[in-house]
Amino acid sequence: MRTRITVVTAGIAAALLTVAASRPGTPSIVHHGVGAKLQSISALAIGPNGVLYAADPQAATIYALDLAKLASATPGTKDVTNIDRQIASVLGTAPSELTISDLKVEPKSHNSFVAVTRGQGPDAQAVLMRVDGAGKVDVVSLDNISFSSLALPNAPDVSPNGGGNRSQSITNLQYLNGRVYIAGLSNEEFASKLWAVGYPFKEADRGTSVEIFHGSHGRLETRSPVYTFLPMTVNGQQDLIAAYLCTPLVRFPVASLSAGQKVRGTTIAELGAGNRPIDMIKYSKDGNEYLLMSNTSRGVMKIPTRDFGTDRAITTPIEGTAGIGYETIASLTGVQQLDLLDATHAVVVAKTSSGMNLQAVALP
Amino acid sequence: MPNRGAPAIVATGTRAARDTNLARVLIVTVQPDDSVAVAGRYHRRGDRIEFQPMFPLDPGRAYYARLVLPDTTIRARLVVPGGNGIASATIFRSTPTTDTVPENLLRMYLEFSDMMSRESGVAHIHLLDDTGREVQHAFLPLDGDFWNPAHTRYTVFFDPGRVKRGILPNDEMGRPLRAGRAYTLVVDSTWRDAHGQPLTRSFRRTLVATPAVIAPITLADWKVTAPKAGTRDSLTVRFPRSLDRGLLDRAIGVETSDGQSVAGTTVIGAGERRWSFVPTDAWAARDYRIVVLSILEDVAGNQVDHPFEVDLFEKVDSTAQPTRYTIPFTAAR
Repeated sequence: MRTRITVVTAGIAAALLTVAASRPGTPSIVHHGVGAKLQSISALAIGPNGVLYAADPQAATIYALDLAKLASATPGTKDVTNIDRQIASVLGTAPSELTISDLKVEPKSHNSFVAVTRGQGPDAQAVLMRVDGAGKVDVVSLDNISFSSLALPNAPDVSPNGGGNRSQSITNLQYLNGRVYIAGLSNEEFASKLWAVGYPFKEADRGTSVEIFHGSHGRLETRSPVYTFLPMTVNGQQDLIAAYLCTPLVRFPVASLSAGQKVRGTTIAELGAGNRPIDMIKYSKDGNEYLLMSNTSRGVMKIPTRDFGTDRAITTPIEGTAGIGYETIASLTGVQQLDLLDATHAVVVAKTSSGMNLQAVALP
Repeated sequence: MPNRGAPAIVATGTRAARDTNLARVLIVTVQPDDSVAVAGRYHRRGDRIEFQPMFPLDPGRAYYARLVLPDTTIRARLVVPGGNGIASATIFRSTPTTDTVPENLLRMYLEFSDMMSRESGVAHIHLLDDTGREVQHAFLPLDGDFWNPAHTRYTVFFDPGRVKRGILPNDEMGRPLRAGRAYTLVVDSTWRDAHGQPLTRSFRRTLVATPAVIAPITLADWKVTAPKAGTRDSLTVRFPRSLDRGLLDRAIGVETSDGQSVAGTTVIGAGERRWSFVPTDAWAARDYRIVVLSILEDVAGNQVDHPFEVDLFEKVDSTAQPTRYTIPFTAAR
């Protein structure tokens, strides 16, 4: 028989994922199962015991994926030039069809997990990918992965039109001491919202919606959303350090994040206008602790944390930046994703003129 | 992965292939001779090797297949049918629909005739001043998440750090809009729809900036026209200023005086200064109330009893539910 290669369409195309956000109106808000089907994927977080948390903003749901039984790969994360092209090649599409929303390093394997959306249209698919120590880029099949999920509370509405046009993005997730912290931003309300939910997810716990205010120039800023945050111990107290849009850095105690409590954050730095923080990590070097924060238009900032506990709240008008000082790391440009790889290196995904590169960089 | 029934790539006449690892026999790539193969599953049936990609192949895109046999390699360029779409999407409305907007305008909505791609609009949206120069950093540098779930309405956020007085970006750059000046909002046709096609044409509209609106929404200023009992006449509420279109759709409703929600449809008009409600069933001769959630805002972000410019210190909200304000009215005979 003649040898030939053809495209064959067998039967009907696979059902497209529903685009309309499911408004979680079912009584059950927690689901457990195997083979999570995410409608979308944005922020990731790593918890203990091999659990990876993934936000599905389209479904307003947080998934906890138990990756403990995931087949192991070569430990580490090896540099991948043109990571966008590599991912596109594996997924059978072009880099322009991809959105890379987050990257997190699993601290035991040091593999990088990447949240990817394949496609720009109604049939776009959420994909979790892994980059290993051999530079292998592959799809993490969720088919045999146990999960539990938690639906976030419905958007408020009283109109017969309902919330049909409202969507909720989830900008950042963090796991800390049995709770998952979720920062989000809606396309309608412009407001600072943070949820804290216990893990394992429980039916009765829809989480606490927290409004964190911070003093700035003698005013109290209540609206600007948190874009990235991380837990940190300051003066022996567990705090969250949060970076807001345009771009105050704010510290507030985790202990205050319980229902009915007022939460007042302390603005410890103003990092400048026209900017959105992307990612933040903390690390130690030469006996000092630092934050490293990537930004859309102000590069990567190295911020010493030693003065975070001195409560130098910014309360008077300032020009430019103020409060805790920082150093812009000139060698790190175009950084779209940033996470800690190990004690001495970070993994970044950086945009260059020829594409996006994933690389390990020495902590500055 | 959900791809059964989607197009597969099939090689026939492959009896000569000895390698049992079919991923080394039939290699499908996006670029010619790419070292990274498209992920998928292989099946061998007789002299057929079938490759089922993990994700549906893109219509109209060329894929490259190599069939590696002991004495030869056969190459093929394969194009999945489809993908020859034509541009059809336009912007049919932007809100506020008023010609004038306060200089502290916080957000606008762009409504598209067709489903759009997931990409961010920031690169496609420009604000030009009355000399034709682009106003820099007018909008928030947000990523691509500000669509409604159907991807037909996009929210344009003016940078609130510039809109709000007394915080750093405002001190540095002032507001993007200045009262008394005219601006043009331009949306490039390069913005892609859900099928990868550009808009049929670019979009332009003029905005004339008026002085900032810094007072909160005051419900006492609303003019309510109550309907007659026994009719399905509209309940109409007129506002002295334009309210945010997105929140108007969600944050006002009607219930009976004992708290039962009333079903009906709403119409928003007159430059987002009028809200009308037609009940599904005729009004009863009784007391009702209009319910307004505290999330309702005017176009400058002022909420009910809570101006955007002055921040209050409130308690943590354990239910995530906003405050409900009510305006009583009576459907009389």
